[in-house]
Amino acid sequence: MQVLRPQTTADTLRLLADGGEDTKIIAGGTALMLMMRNGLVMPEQLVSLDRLSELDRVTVEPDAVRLGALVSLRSIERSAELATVLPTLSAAVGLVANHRIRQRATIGGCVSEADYASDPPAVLTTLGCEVHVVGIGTQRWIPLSEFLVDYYQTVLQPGELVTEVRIPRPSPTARTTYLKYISRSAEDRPCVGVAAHVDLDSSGRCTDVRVAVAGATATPFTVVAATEACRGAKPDKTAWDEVAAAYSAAISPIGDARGSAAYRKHVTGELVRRALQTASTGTENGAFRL
Amino acid sequence: MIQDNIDNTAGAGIPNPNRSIPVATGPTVGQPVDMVGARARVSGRVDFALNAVVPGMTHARLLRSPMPHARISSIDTSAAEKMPGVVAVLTAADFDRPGAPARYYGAVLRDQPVLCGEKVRFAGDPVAAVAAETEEQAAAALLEIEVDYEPLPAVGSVAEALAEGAPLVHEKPPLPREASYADIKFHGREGNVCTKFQLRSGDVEAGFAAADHIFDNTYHSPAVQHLTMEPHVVLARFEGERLTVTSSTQAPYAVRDTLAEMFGVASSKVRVIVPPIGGGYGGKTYAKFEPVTAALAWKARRPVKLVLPRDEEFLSLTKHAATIRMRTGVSSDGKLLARDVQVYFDAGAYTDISPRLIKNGGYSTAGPYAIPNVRIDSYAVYTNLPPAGAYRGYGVSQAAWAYEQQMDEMAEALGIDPVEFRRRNLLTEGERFATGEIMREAHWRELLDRTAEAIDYDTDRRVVVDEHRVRGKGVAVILKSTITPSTSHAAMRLDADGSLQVLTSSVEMGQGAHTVLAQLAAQPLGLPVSAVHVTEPDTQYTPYDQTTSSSRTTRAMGGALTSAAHVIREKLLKLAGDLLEVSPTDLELADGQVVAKGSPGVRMSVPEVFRRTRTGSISGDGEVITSGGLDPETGQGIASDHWHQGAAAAEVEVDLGTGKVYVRHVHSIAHAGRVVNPKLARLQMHGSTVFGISHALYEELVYDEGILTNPNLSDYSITAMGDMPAQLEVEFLEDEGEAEIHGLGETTLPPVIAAIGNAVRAAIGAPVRTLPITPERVLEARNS
Amino acid sequence: MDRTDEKSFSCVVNGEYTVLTGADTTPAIVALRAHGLFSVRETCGIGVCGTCTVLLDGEPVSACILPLYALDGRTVQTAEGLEEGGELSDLQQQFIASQAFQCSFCTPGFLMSGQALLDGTDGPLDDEAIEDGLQGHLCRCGCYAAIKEAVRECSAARTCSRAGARG
Repeated sequence: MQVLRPQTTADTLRLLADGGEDTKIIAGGTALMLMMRNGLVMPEQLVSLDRLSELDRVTVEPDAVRLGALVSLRSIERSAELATVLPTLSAAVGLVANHRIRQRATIGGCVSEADYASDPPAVLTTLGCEVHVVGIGTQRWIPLSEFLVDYYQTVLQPGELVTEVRIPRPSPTARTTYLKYISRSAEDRPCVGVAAHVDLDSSGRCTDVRVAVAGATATPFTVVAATEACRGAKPDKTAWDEVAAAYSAAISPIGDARGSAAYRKHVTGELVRRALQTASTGTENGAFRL
Repeated sequence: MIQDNIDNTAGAGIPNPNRSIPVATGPTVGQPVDMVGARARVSGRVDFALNAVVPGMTHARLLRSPMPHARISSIDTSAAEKMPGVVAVLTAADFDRPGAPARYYGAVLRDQPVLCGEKVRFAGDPVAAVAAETEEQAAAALLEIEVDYEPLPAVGSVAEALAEGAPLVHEKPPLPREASYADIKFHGREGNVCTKFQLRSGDVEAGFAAADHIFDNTYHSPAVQHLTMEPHVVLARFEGERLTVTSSTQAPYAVRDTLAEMFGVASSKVRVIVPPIGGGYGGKTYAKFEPVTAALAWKARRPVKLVLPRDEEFLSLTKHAATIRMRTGVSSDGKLLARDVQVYFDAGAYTDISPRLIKNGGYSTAGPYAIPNVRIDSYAVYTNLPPAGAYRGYGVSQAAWAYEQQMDEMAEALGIDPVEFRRRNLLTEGERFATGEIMREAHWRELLDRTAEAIDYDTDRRVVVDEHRVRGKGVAVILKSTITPSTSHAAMRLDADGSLQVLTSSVEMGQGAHTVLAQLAAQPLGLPVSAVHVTEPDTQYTPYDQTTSSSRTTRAMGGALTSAAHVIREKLLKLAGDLLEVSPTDLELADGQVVAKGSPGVRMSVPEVFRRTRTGSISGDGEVITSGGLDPETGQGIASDHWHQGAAAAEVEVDLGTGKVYVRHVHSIAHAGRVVNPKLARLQMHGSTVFGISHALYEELVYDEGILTNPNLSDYSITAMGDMPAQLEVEFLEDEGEAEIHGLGETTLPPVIAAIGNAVRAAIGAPVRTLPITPERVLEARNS
Repeated sequence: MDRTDEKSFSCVVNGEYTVLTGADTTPAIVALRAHGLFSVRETCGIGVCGTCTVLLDGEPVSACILPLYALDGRTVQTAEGLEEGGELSDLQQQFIASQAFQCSFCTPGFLMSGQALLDGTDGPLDDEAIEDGLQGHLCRCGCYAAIKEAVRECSAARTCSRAGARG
């Protein structure tokens, strides 16, 4: 087993194409090293992205933020600029695992791993994130909600690589929140996480409500009909109770030591209501650990 | 034997013959001395067994059963033996032949196979072991071993194990070892019952008949893991028939004896060396992985080192899961009149130390209360789960979880304040415990009062914080025994340069044993702690000690060392007295000098006494041997040579929407008698608090069809820094003047769990009777 | 790991030019321990407990899931490198004064993250900052309060220098 360390995206794609099925991509390695140590994957060859400095870039554009695949979670969390333009994403990234993992883990790896219990994908989903997927002679932008397909599964084909994610900047009047609910000790992974986005018009009525649930289902869970129905509604307890009830009713969560399926269903409703309440009444955008 | 003298009939009570040497605070005792070897500890240079390397060393890995209960129809190791780097592959076939080791071991019953032969009894039972040049090669070879299993019906819980016609974990369990422990008696062995303990005191039926109220509740504690930061590590090597083992064990002599029996050699042929260990908490008591590593070294004819992988740590040993049905009769004015308890401890697949644990955990269900009529039946039940054994708290956590929850439930039903209700029933000086023994130095009321006061228990017992959150307060008080009878020996040698070499088999596992032992050894000789060197346990040189467990080391080994120091002191003063022409009784020792009392000018340095008397060194030894024991039919006698007394109080906040419990304040207090080192004692109590929070709220080994589902630190949750209460206080109750030493290693763990439980009950208005108190269980309790 | 995969990786460990050997994806902890750096210890093996924390270019990382190739050309610091000229660092001394350890198996990991926290901040640290900086470290003996106290005291004194970090 060897690790190849190309310096350009073009070289990377060629190595991936040459390597075939038994070649895997490694960036920070926080997930892959774990899987290899436990014998869950045994690739014949790894292509490391660590020398692709072109992918380690943050670009803040007037209407969007572009994060190169190699940008570490730690640098997202530490960036003063990102804390201003994407405060909830920045704070939610700061709640992932621990400093050491965030130091090594990358945003490209985060979306490509498709870990159901990861916090950022739910926030990115409510922000309308798109993923840039390139192959030899191909490139496409895919909404994150379509990119993630199942537990640890994406639409990525062999030979393809995520080079960056693009996050539209929220409307200046929008408020966003992420609640990370941990049911056991402080170092545990989330039982349920809820990202909420609420935008109001000048009369104080909802124009754009989005909610995504992390940790409970294969991919970030949304009930678009329920949030769409809020359009024009007053952002009050009645409205949020309805959205919460819809999410709680529609979700089919997993059950494990962090909480049974029935418990997660209940907590989803509880947290959806609180996240919307916080987003609509709170003074600060941000992410909070419960 | 003490029980020969026991009068089972009377309520008069049994006097305790055991006394320890009282110790006064002095130049070293009672001082917050830095931990011996602190420098090595903060620079990462402690020489743990993990670091051990010897020439020619090979590395071991174990192949474990994937099934909870199955017959082994065949094992084929031929492919594995041909794998690169493989030095030896060991299976059951290698044992029990002329010149070969015996295959079964155990502290009490030899019922645990080093490697399984006929059948496996839990998912994780070892069936083969490989030694190879590298750990990776050993791991790779495991994959080439072919084992055919015929699955058998398994019992995954006590209820299943006790059901009519349940499959038997052990068809024919062996008889107890001859050299087992004096306090352990067997009773009621049939079906899957490993053994039971019973206690009969007074007339329970008459007590219930006289009661105004009878409360009947069942409480449950789950199996949890010790989770030492350092895993089990064993390095075994033979020179001829001499076996040397370096191990991270808490019980060097128990390991020595087990290995000597297994290899059929005199115990002097086995040498066990124990470096400082990275946490024990009971999980490294008695032989654990020394037998398999030594057997592998025997077959490989090479040194073999085993570092247990973390997922296998979870299969090594657990705290006993326990289900306790407790019926208590009370008068309307709040006096406990009768208690009838059935305790079911899940022993897992092998006996280990269950017979003692279910005894101690059994009689402890009477609690620190004067209950005239008590009947206790405590069972160790075999199941097809990993074996359960010693665990910090030793059965008392499970017992206290039951009796202290029920105390609050009863108090509420009777309309009596929970502290007042306890006060009316707590054992006082000279009162009789359920075992018949007379309690002395009874401080439970004071401990309870002080802990209740520390959290201002009388006010704001339940407070609504906001729309989601409520707060509640709870208290708990417990008693805990220590191994009785038990034996500790110590030896020491004063050298001509005034330094003291202490030979003890007490294991330093972070509790600070070697520091407090140095303090205790130094004081009678007027030495600074820096002049004392405490030797690592090495059964070839350091004298016998039963175990480093049961919160016994500071008192028992400390007592042995204090005696030894006095022996040396007398010899030294005699020599100095002759030189100074002063009677030895008029001399004292301070700062390395022998000084005449009242005439500080008449003095001589210790090195000078040695030189002028041509003395090379002065040796002394000491021992503490306690006595006691309980009658197997009635449970009457001396259960413990002294009693640990502790209490705790907690304030929690509960989120009523999610059910999550946040601990805000924990206070705990223990009767210490004499604190030898306040700095280290405080940390022992902090440790108990942290374990208590963990067991109350987070920890549980979850099995699915007998397979452990969470054998890693992501899926198994323990207390982290972020879970610590904003307010955390520990307090010692010390006695005046010369006082006995009471161990502090475990005393406040059980009451912290129970106090958190009672605080949750106060907050949500309903009891959660099953640990851990998960958010889900909180919501269920509240909605029921 | 097949021996034929063995390679050499050059890095600066505790201020000294060092060649570590192993395969590309050998966990860094294995190579560091093979080099005699026994302060780097494994408990969980999955990046959760913090026991194997080392500083990679000054930032804490988990050596148990760090591939060896990631050390190539980089600077690594372990607890062995906290001392300078035989003197314990201020944080190490404060760990002793506050008795911030029992078995001490986890201590080097806490020290490395604690030092990184002190190096990246100024002035006295409050509990929240300390908890944030030491998040992701487990101590089974339960010394959390004393560890927090040690870092707090050290930050208040703020003469904490990190010996050996000049690699």
